[in-house]
Amino acid sequence: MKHHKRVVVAMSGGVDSSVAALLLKKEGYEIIGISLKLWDYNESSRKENSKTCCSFEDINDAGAVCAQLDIPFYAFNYKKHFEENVILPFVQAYREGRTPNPCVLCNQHVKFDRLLMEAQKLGADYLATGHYARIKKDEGGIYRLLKGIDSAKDQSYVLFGLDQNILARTLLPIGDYTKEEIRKMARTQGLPTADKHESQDICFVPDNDYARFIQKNYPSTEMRKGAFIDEKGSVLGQHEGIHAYTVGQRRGLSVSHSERLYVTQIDSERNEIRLGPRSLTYRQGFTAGRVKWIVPDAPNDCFVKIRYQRNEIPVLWTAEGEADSVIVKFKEPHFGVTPGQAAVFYRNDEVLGGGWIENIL
Amino acid sequence: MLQLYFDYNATTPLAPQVKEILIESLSADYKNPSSAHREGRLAKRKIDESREKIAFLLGCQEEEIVFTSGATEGNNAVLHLVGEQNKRKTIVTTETEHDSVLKPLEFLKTKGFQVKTVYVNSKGETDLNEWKKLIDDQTALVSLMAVNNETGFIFPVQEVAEIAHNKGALFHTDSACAVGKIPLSFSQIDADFLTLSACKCYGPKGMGALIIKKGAPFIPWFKGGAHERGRRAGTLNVSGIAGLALALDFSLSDLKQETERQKRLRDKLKTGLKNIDRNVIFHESDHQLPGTLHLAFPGLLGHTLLANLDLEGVSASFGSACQSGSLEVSRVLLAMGVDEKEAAGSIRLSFGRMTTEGEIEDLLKVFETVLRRMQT
Repeated sequence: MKHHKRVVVAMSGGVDSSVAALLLKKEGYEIIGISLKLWDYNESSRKENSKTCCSFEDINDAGAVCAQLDIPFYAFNYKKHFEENVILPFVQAYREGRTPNPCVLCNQHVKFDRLLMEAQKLGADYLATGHYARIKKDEGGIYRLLKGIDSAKDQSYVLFGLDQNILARTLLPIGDYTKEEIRKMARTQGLPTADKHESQDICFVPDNDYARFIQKNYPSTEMRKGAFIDEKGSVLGQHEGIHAYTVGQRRGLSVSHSERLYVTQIDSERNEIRLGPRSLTYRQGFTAGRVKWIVPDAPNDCFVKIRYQRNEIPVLWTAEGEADSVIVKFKEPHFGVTPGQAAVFYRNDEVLGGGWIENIL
Repeated sequence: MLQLYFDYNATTPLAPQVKEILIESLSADYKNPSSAHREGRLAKRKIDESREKIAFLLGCQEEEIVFTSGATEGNNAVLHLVGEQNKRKTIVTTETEHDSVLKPLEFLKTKGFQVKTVYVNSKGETDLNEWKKLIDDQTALVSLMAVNNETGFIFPVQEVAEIAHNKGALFHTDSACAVGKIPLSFSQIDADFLTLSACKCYGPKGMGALIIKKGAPFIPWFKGGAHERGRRAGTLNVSGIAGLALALDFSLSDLKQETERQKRLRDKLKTGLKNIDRNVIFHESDHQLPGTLHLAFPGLLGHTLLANLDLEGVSASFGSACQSGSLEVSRVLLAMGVDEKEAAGSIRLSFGRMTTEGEIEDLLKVFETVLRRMQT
């Protein structure tokens, strides 16, 4: 029997990973589909057109796609690992007045860690996912992580934590296509997930009300009301608990003031939220910690993305004291820098590396 | 591709004679056995013959048998009956029962019932004194499975039935995993209710029986026609009933010799596995089915091992097929005090009448390949 390379495809139950499996199967790989059960979704999120990922229904959909493609399918339970490595840090970040990005954590600690390990134990040569991003190996043997062809869907931001070792063992088959092309392929093949809704925002908070999610699931998180203050420290009103706010936020502050006010700073120790005019939200840069570089040749003069689905900003970064910390200076002041979010460095379409925003400058 | 079936506790293959009778009876196109015409009478005769055989094989009376769709239905029917009476409000059971007992009990708790559980240790043993302590004059029902489906451990149902009856409580035993695998007599156990499934003893799926002791109280769960002496409404499944009778006959013939044969296969399997990895842990009991081997390899995850086995053509499972949909660590093992890590690493190999020595050898070869893959 001819030996085919074995690939584990991470199946979320959505159309993207379904087509990833389809494309690789067509290329002649031996495919194994795997879904991870990561969270118990309550009834309210199981309604039709739900935008979850990895729920019971999604796992069923993934299984149906694999059955249709005639590939083995398994569902593994990683609930505890997911809670410890994604949800608890998510909750903790809000407690500390930061705005977390759980998708990056899920990719780093679940998909490209546990699932990669599972793939290895199943004798697979590669792990494939349905991310809109690409991996190319250059002449020097260095793997380059690139944006997906479909710039509107590009997901390279959430993959900045993948190092050379992981990139060498990862396939991103749909990064070369647009979302429209992917849907079309799924329809042509008659895949049951062809017209499924997009999973959006944070998968375990399908209604996007993360403050309610935290209070409901982690009621021990005591969220105390506190003061909105202005730049001089005068009290402007009362906030509902710092977890309900994010830096740069304008809506839902319920403070009446002569001009529009934005959240400029969240002080978890004093339980205070500082508000100011838009001009004060324009900042010079930030410091980032736990920075990892994918490539050895990342130039200091490059671009940074400070939030998923935001444009890149020209910056100049310099290494700071500790090995994995950097100071990032915007070439022009910029709006909406949020502690807790990932800062991902780009050179054109290439992801150079990334880290976590700590202090705003 | 090599296909090795080691999931007999989930469901057994059909016995050849069962397959034959199913095809034959479907070809004969039996009519409604409750009909008064000649064709109906022919169907009824088939059922009567089968019922007679089943009664003989299970040590019960013909009129004590109520045909059902399986043990899940039987268990629900019994617990429904208990919920309908209002005299006694306590049920005594164990935490290692099947979901088709525990889930209805959860429901009864919401109706004001109290459920007390006797501890099952890692050897699958319970303390009879604990049963005596928990069963009292408020106990409506005692429910204890004859054999645990995950571990294959055998429970002392006869002794517990006696304790229950001494306090005037009813006794129910879910015998889905015991019937056809160990010698079992309804009258000897002296149970009030016994449930079984044909698909666990080489019979068809969707077929089972609930045995109700003569004189035991009963309120039908399925209400409708007067079938089964008014105890279970619904047109009788002639083919399934004929299949069940032959399945019991098949599974109980030369049971002693077959048990010895399966024990030898199990020993061979154990020795082989120990040779491959001397750290393998077996979850065993002095009283257990010969064809069930529950085991764990320290440091390996059960789900990865099962997926690897499946990729090599081996069908095995965690423990409960009814539970594996939920992807949780075996609650049965946790209830027995097995630590979570070991439970997460556990799998069940179950086999039976069709399993050959050659298949055990093939299985061991697969284990060698798979464990080497997983341990590098």
